[in-house]
Amino acid sequence: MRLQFFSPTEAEILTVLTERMVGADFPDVVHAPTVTTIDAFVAGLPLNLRVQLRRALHLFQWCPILFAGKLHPFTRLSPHDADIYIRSWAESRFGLRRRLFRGLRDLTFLGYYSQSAANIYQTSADKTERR
Amino acid sequence: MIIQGRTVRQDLHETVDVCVIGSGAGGAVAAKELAQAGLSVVVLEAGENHDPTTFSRRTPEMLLRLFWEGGMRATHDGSVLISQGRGVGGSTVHNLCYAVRPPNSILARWEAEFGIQDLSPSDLSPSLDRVEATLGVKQIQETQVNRLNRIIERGCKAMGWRGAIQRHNRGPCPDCSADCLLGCPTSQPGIGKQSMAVSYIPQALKAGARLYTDCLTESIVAENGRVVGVTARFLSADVRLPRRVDTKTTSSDRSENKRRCKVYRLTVRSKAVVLAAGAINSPQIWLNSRLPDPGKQVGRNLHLHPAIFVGGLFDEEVDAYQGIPQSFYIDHFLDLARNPESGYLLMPAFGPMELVAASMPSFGREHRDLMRSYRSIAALLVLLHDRSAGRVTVNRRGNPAIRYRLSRADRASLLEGLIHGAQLLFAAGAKEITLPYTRRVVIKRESNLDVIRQRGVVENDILIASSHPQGTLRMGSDPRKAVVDSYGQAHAINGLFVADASLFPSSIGVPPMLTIAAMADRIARRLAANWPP
Repeated sequence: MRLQFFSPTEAEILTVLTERMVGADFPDVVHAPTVTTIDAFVAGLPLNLRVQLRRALHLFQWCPILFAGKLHPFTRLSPHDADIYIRSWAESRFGLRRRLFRGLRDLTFLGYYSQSAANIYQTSADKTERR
Repeated sequence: MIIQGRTVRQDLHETVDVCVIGSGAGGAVAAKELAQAGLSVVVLEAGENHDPTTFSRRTPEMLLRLFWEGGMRATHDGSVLISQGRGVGGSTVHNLCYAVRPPNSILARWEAEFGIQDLSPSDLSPSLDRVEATLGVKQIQETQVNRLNRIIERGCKAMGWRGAIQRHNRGPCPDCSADCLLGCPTSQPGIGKQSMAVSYIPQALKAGARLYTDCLTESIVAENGRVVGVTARFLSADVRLPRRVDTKTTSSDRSENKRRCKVYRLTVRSKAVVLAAGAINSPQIWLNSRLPDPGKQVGRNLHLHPAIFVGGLFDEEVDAYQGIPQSFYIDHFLDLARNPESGYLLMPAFGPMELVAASMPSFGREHRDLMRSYRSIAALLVLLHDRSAGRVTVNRRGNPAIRYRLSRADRASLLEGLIHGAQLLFAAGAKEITLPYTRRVVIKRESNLDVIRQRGVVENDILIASSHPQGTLRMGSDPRKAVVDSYGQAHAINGLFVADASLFPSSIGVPPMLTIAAMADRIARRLAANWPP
C-alpha cells in the first residue's frame, strides 16, 4: 500500500476503524483503497489539520486503557470491545471526545463510500453506470 | 488574462487602479463593473481556475479542490462545519443556485438600525436586476422539480405551510444530480450552473481585468491612512517543506532546501483595494495586515446560518440523488416583518453517499442499515436565521480562528425547526425520521417527537453545518459599531472597500448569493463614479 501521509501503523489503525465504523459485513469492505483514499485526502489538507488528525488517531489508538479499562490498544481489541470503546467516545459527556469520534467516523465514510465498489447505487463514483 | 500562480517562477509586480481580493459572488461582480468602467483591475484568487469538464464527481478530490481546508473548516470547538468555496467563482461553484432577493424587512432594518443610506428595496433593485440578468436567473419549471422536492412540497401542503418553487441561476442542466454541490461539470455560459466563473469573470477578463490564481493574499498595505497596495504569494506546485536539517546535512542539501522552499511573491500597487475574500478570510486578511480597527469590530458579529439535516425514510424509492437538488423551499417560519431577528427556512437537502453517510447517526451495523435505505431517503435542512454572534480572530500562524456558540434562543429555534421538519416528513409519508446525532434516536411516530426536545441541540452531539458565514466587517454609519460605511468603504482607511457577505450588519435569513452580488455591484459602481476614492 503506497501511502503519502500516514505511516503503516496509522494505516492499520484506519483499517480497523473503517471496519468497525462502516460495519464489517457491508458489501465489499475494501480496506486498501479506502485507506489510500483517506491518506490521499488527508495529504491534501493544510498542515494544521493533518497534525490534528494524526494526533487524534494516536489518541484513539492508545486510550482504551483510560476509557475502557483495557490493557490493549484499539487495534488489538476484540470487535465487541472495539464497538463498546467507539460508543464510549460517541456518547461521551466531553465535547472533545464526541468531536473526535465524528471526525474519524466521517473520514472513514469519506474513504469507504467514495469507492465505486462500496457505492452500491453507482452514484457519485461512476455516474455513467448509474441505475 | 489569467496568470496561473502555480507556474510562476519569479517575483512579480503590478501597478493598477484597483486590486480585488477574491473572485466569488462579491469579487467577480466588483471586478467586472470596475473593469467595464475603464479602470485597470487585478483580481487575486487563492484557489485554482477550475475547468468544469475536469470535475470528477469523486467527493474527496472535489472537497480538496473546491473548498477551504478540504471542507473541514470548523468553529474552534468543531461543532459547526463551515463550507466555503475556494477557487475562481468562490462558493458560487458549489452552491445550489437559490437566487433569492434580500427580504424587504431586512433591508429596512439595516437602514433604520444601522443608519445605512440608500439601501431601500427600490435603491437596490437596479443592482439586483443587473445581477439577475447577468446570471440568467429564472423560475424553476415544474418539469425540473425532482422527486425529493415533490415530497417536501407534498408535506408542506399537507401541513398547510407557506412554501414555493424558487428561482435559480442555472441554464438547462442535461445531467443534474446531487453532485451539483461538488461543482457542475456541464457549467458553461447559458448551460448548467451559472457560477461567477462562467458569467462575471469572463466579462471582467474581456474588459481587461487580469486574474491571478493560486495567489494567496498576505496583507493589505496602507500608508498614512490610505491603502497603497497588496502583497501576496504564489502557491507554486513545487514548493515543499524543508528536509530535516541535522549534523550530517551538507551544503548542497542546504541549497536544495533553499530552492525547494523558495516562495515567489506578487506585489500590487493600487489606489483602491476591494476586499471580497468571504466572511472568514476577509477579517483574517484585515487582522494579519494590522490595519486600523478603532471600533474593535473587525471579525465580530459573525453569523453562520447554522443548518441541521432531518432525514425521512420512505417506503417508496425517492432517488433524491437525481435531478436538481433544491428547487422548493418553505419560508413559513421566517416572518421577518413580524419577527426580524429569528426564524428558519426548511429546504430540501441531499448529496452523494459520502456526505449523506456523514449526516446519519451512529456507526457500524446501525449506520449501515440506514445507508442501505439511501435510495428511499428524503431529507431537508433547517436553516436558522441566527441571532448568535461569533467572532473571527487569527492565531499566531495567521490562520483564522472561528468562535461561535449558539445562544439559548437559537437552540430553541433550531429544536422547533427540527420538530417541524420531522412533522413535514411524516405528513409526506415518512415511516421513520433520522437525525444526525452521534447515537441513533428512533422516531417512528409523531408522538415520539418529544425525544428531540429531550436530546436538545448540543455541540458535537448533532452535526451542524454552515454555508453562509456573514457579518464580520459589518456596514453601518457609526464607526464605533461598524467597520465600513454605507458604500462599503472602510471608516478608518481611505481606498479600502469590502464587497462580500462580511458587510451584512445582521443575519440575512435567506440564501445570500444574490444580495452579495447586488451589494458588490452597488459598491463598485459608486467607486467607479467617484474615482479616485
